Amino acid sequence: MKITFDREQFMSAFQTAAAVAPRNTPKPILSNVKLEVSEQGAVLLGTDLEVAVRMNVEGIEIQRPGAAVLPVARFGSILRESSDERLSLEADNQGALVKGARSEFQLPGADPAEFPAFASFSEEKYHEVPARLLRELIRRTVFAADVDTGRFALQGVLVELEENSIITVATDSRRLAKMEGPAVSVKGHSNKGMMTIVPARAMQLIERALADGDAEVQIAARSNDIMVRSPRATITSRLVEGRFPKWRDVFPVRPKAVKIELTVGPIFAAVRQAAIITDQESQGIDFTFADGTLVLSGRAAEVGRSRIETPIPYDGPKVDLTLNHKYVADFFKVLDPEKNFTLEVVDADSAALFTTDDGYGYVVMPLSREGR
Amino acid sequence: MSWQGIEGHDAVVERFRRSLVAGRLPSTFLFVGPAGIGKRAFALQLAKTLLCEASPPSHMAPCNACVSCRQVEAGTHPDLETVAKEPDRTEFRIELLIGDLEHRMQEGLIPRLSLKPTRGQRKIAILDDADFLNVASANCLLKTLEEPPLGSVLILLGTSEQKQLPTIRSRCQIVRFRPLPEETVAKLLLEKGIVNDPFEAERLAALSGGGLQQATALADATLLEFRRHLLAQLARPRWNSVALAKSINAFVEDAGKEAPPRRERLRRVIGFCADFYHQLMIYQSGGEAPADPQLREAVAAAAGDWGGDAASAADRLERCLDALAHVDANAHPITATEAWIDDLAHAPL
Repeated sequence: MKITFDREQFMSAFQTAAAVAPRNTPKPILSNVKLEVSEQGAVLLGTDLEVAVRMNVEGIEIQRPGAAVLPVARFGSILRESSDERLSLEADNQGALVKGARSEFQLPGADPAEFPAFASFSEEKYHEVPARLLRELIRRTVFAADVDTGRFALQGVLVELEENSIITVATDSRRLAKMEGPAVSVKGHSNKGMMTIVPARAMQLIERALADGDAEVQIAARSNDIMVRSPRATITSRLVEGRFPKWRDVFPVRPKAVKIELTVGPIFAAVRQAAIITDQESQGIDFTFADGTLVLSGRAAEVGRSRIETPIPYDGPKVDLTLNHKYVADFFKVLDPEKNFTLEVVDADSAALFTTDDGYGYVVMPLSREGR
Repeated sequence: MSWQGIEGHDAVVERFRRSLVAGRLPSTFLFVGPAGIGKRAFALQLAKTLLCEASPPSHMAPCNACVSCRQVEAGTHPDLETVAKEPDRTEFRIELLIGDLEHRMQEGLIPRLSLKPTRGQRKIAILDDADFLNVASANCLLKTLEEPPLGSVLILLGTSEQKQLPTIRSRCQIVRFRPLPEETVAKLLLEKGIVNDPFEAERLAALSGGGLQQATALADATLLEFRRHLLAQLARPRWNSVALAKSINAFVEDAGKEAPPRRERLRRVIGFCADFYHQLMIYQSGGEAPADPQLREAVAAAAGDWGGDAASAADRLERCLDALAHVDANAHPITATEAWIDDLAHAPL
């Protein structure tokens, strides 16, 4: 393989692919990025066996096609430290030779066939989603996944691709976040009947690898993996084995519930203040809705108590409930302060439901009020 | 007969062939047998068989050419996980299975197994050094062994099922690997270039106990020389325990500055001793004398005039096995040696 390339462009693609490579691994070949050069163009490939990223590289002049594996740390440093505009790269199984105008680096090589292969995006059926929306779908749900208790199906985000929509759901069984948005199904692509659970870490990587500038991205769910393609990158992630809970049953439908229209900014500020007087043991704060006022109060043994009042548009009968302030704050953190939302409550023993007008819903189970 | 370069385990090969043809492969295995007889090689070959994309598993004939086969060989196959105890540790740490405290259930073998396979239908995990699983690590495996994720095959490698908790044993299919025949050991020693002289290879094979690892260790001349010295001492009716313990400790310290090679050498020495009492016990119960001339000479000499019988040889054998357990449990090597040798010298006849 022999190419010359534009250093800046190559570096930006290389760094994105290299970000996936694991830091310490029993499989040393994974701390490399694979470069595949064919007549169609050049692709950089990085993986930790859970997630794989393929980056298209522009600005390459091909003398001889082929493949090479490039060590993440050393090759990355060469790209960073070199001051040449263009570099040349020649590689075979024995090693790689990088040449600039006045510099030359010889790197040891490995057999590119040993690099784990991940399929490229060749699906004909897929969903098209605006990149901006996909990032929002991920950001607003992934935090609710349960990453550390060993219930593997809950460690990921459920992705449902239906006729005209995409839905993401994550839960740790104490709260559940769901977001739905419009999407275009191409050639009838759908993952109905399949459990597409994407590991939370992979979702975060996808979110980071997409740029808001990317107009449309394509998503294809397959039996063992999910692929996301943007103009620059293709990301493949393995799925989690297991069954996701029936989340639609969790979502309350309560025509008689109290619904209050609120704005994120002031309520989040009040929750943050009330949360000052809480500790590890009592993470709950009491929400009292009555007489046009929301009273938030926190209390903890040896810490003290807090009481924060906020005016709200509600004059109905008094409703009391206790919620974990961290869960509530998680909802506010992913929204703009000016955003409006609807809070739906019934009583101290029923779930609180937070919804926005753009398809976002968040269910939080209340804490027990015994002993208070 | 050999299967894909795996020598001497035809019965095991046959067992797997039967269950693969029937399409009923269990998903958790515990491979047991002495060190260095090819359990790991067999497990890898089995992984290759199950993952090969050109030949169906029931043929038991991986093509060795497809991407999957090559990646298994290179250790980079995404659906093959291998973990082993870190060489500088004495225990198999729980972090290797479920990640460190900050990444609990996010890194390590068990979370990786929870993902769907990348290329085919199966995921294979090989857990080497299962002897060294501590209680915490063993317990965190139980749930995965009980209900392995769909399509996964988990293989534990150890020297004896007695070293596993009953809860692990009962959740695994136990596959026993027999020691290799001497001819096979000799052949492998020559093939792998560990020794070049066929005569030397035969001699080492006779001492190897059917394991390549032991044979390789014995290719070290100083170890053989020390064995001769040790057997000469043990053959006497009375011996000076303080002097013997001292010479063992000196020999063990010669192995290097680090603890692991020293511990390894001490294990060998205790192994020689255990072997001696084992053979003596057999000989005194009317069994055959061992084939190795040095050992035979020592056993015959001891049986003649040490005054003990098969039962007292058995007691000493047991003391040797205890000493091995102490070394594995990280006992202070000098103290452990002194206590062990002293007990051997003064145990009642």
